[in-house]
Amino acid sequence: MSSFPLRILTTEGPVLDAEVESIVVTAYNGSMGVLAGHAPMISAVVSGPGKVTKDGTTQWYVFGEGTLEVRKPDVVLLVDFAEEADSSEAAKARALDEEDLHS
Amino acid sequence: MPSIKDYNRKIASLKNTSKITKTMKMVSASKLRKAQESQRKAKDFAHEVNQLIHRIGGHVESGMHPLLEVREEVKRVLLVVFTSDKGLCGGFNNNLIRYLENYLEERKDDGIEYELAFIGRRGYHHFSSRATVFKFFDDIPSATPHARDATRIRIRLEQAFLEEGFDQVKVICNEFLSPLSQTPKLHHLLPLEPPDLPDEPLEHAAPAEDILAEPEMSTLLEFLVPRLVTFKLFYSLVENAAGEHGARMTAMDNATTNALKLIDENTLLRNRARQAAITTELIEIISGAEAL
Repeated sequence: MSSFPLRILTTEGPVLDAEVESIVVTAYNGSMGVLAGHAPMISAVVSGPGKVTKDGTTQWYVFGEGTLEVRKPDVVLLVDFAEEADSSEAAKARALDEEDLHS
Repeated sequence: MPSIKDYNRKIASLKNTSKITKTMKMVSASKLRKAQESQRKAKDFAHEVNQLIHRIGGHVESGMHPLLEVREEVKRVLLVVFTSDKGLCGGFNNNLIRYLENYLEERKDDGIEYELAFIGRRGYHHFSSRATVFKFFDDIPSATPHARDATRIRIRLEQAFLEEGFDQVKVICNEFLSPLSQTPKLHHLLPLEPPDLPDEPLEHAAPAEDILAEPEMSTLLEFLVPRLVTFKLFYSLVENAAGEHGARMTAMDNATTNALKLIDENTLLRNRARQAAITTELIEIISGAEAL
């Protein structure tokens, strides 16, 4: 599967800088995925679970608010925070916790 | 003339002072390392944010978001002043205070009303009786910046700009050049003028028309603009904290050097006094012996 360079940056430093096959984030209008060769795009990201597939393995994350920018050829995710999670359930639970904290 | 005992007391107290300043210097040095690290990381982030703004810049006009609206007549200006909570950091706060006083003095006759908001106790204490204070964010610690604090400041400033009749909001904070040097600097916050975060020249700017926006541009702006303001404030907080630790480290280093110099001087004087006392005693004994 073709891959593309992805960078995940938070205000507290870079979290990921690697060649990946896909990224899924919780966008403004719901979950959204990006694969290699996507058209240039800027999207608002809301706090929620997401995942990154790298070398065939999927890593779950919890992302904070931010933006996802697809350029050619790289993709940059700028968010408040990005934490690794063990599973989709763990990521969802963690995202809910964060929501409680903010409200 | 002070006695040997006086000198001894003075030397002992100087030794204690130098111990304290030396410790404070080391504490600041380790805090500085951390603060500098987060400043550097925030700068990386700022770089990316700027690239993003440049890319969508072509789509944005002044009327698209209330925080971007430039007011025709400027009557009231809010200045947000970043200082430290604690002293003992050399000219860090005083330089900034002097800069602000000059700034206000020069614009006394412009017919613009200036009000001040403070982050950091030092600035507030100086100006609380000298100028119009709009707000003092007394529960935001200046030495440990947090993104959540920046959000709170942003919400308050947004309210001041949109509802309480301020036409401009500006930020005054010490720019962190190196641990040894910080200079007071003023920059605009609201209405937002995008490209003035510290940055290098732009890399590869794609033509703006080619970019998809999700959701559409106006909704996206509504989401992006407050985030940008928050981030600018966060960056000021981080810079302020790094500057404070740097300034304190330098000040304490100087203080330690001075204390050691004083110890040397006083030791010399003490020895001289001791020698003088011995000489006097000898003369007394000799002249006593001669008298017999």
